[in-house]
Amino acid sequence: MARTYDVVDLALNDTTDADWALTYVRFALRDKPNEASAWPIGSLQDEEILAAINANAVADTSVTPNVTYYPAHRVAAKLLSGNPEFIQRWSAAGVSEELRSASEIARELVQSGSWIDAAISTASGGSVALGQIRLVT
Amino acid sequence: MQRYAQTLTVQRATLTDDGLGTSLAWANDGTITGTFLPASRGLLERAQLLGVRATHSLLIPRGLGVTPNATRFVMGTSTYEVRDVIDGPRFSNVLVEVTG
Repeated sequence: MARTYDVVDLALNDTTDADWALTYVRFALRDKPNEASAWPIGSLQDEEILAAINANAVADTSVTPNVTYYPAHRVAAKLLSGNPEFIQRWSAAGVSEELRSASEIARELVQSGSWIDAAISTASGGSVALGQIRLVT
Repeated sequence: MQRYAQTLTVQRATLTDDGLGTSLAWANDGTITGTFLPASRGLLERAQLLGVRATHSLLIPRGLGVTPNATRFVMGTSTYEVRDVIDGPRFSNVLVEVTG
């Protein structure tokens, strides 16, 4: 069990790379160390995120060997909207913090990551397209 | 909020006992970005309950490891002694007293 965040992986933009997907999910959820080197409350372990990444992976079976793609933005949205401990509002002693609702942020994550859908569709020559997702087993 | 963010030097106290007495030394431990706020009525009341004096409320990233009376922040010629800490999900609200 470990938590890793290697920002170098983020620049790869390789939708077939699970390490990129892991970093993208952490970046999208801001599940990364802050300035004080502290992970956020409820921070997920790498294994937990990778389990979700693999469960939501899509395969291009039109080529041999099959190519696996990772729609990381959708994984981030699912993890966020399914988090029962998401804190939207908090206040104490005159100071408060507030975020948008989890569902609103999840929608924005899917929208802002739409380039990933497009990149997967292009890379697979249209074999893998949104709405025709096939889970990798 | 970012508009008022300041870079603060974090200092931590070390107590040394040489058999004749205890001496307190402060050592730098990196910097942190914090935002000063006027101490709210709620915070001033909390300080009263704790029996400490508070002049400012300082918002810093959560998880820095701030201990009242054993951590302080320095900005320019001012020193801010930590009197109490309230941890939030993303930030810590630190009650500080200007001592110099």
